[in-house]
Amino acid sequence: MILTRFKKGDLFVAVVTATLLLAAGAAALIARAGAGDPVAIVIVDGAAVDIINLRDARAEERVYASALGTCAVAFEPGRVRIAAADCPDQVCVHTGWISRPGQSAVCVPGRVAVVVRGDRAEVDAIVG
Amino acid sequence: MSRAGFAELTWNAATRPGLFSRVAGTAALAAVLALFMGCAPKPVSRAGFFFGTVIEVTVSGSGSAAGEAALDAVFSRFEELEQRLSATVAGSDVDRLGDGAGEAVAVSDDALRVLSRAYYFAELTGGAFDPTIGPLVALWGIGSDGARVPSDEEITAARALVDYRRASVDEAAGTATLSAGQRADLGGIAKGYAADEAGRILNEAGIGHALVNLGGNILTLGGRPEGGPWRIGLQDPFGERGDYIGVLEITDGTAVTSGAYERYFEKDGVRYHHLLDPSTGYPARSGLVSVTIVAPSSTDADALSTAAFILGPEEGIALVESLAQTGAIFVTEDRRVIVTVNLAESFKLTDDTYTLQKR
Repeated sequence: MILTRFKKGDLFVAVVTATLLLAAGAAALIARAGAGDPVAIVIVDGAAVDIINLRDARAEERVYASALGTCAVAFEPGRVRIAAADCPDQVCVHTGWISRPGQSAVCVPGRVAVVVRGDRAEVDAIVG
Repeated sequence: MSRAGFAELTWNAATRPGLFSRVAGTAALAAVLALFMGCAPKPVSRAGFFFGTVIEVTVSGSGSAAGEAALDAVFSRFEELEQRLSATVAGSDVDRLGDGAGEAVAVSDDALRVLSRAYYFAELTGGAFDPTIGPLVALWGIGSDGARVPSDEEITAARALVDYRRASVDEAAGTATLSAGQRADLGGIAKGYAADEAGRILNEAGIGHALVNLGGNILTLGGRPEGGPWRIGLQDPFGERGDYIGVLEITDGTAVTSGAYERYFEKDGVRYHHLLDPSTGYPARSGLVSVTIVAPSSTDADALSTAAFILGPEEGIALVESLAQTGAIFVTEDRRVIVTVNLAESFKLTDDTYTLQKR
């Protein structure tokens, strides 16, 4: 039906559409290139205080103090962990190294969290 | 986005308007596509600690000032709801309800709404989900420093107090009532209600795309800002946090998991998780390691995931299949993944150490 009514004007529209779609697609790819590295975000009292590209991370330890506690966060190339915390349960420390987008180490009593995110992650979030 | 775009093209071809309007329409469409694919407005994110977990909210599809204002409203609402619905906040509605057990206690509209929905699910599941489980939760203390294995006598005594049929709400009078000795715990439903409230606030603020993550309970508005549905990984119950065994695609919906791995303690080599079975007084042993519910309401999904976990695979699936617009993914101890028919298209198992079992 549509094929039988295909005219010169339609071809022009199709070509313009295809060109613009390709351009838009390329723009999207360029915008996202290089943005896919895993990034560690340190959240203290609900605010992101540090954002570190894990691929470029140097081995170092940083100490973060919230209103309710203190956490030492250890960075290494490609991974991060909460190395020490003054909370009673130590759940955050026992979480260990995290490296992939979607992972997190959270100190609920101390209100400090380290989350790993990445723009080109396969998933937007983890349910569970 | 792209689907709407193609619908527009079809409309153009069918009605055959002039060449100029067709080109203009196509250019406008491409501009919209470029906006969403390449140069979408920067998403705005915020995190906070409520309900004993970390909450992350990301919004886009609106200016960043509007996004920040919406996030302010959402996080003040979380704070308000925690003060009203938490069993461990002194002076909360739930706390006062327990202290005043035996008589009618005036509570907030939020508490009335959540309690009345909780009793609905208690009735529907024959008490597998029971908001009067407070005495058992307090006795085990799972997730707190005081977690321990209680004696059989203690469990029998606490279990005798757990019975939703001896509790009630009077929405007209604005009161709720427990029987003497009873205590409420809304841990299996309050986070879902908080997610629904976040969704309502963001929607009213005109936010087109949002991802609300309450410690692994997910609510979404719209789809991904760059187009297509949100892609949500299903936590591997036997893996590390962030390891996932499959991907669930959601647009404008919610997914809530109850998992044995979420909160637990170990004693003499036995793992005791936080999903207590009201009928035994012990952590449920139903052969399941996690249940994920996909539904329009996060309140309902939260209550249902707990109930279905406690009921086990057979009864749990029957329950989910009896409800409209509700789907589920059950993961069993022997690594089977059972998916309801209505999720067959939107859930893909990606970990081949699990076996997919279709309904």
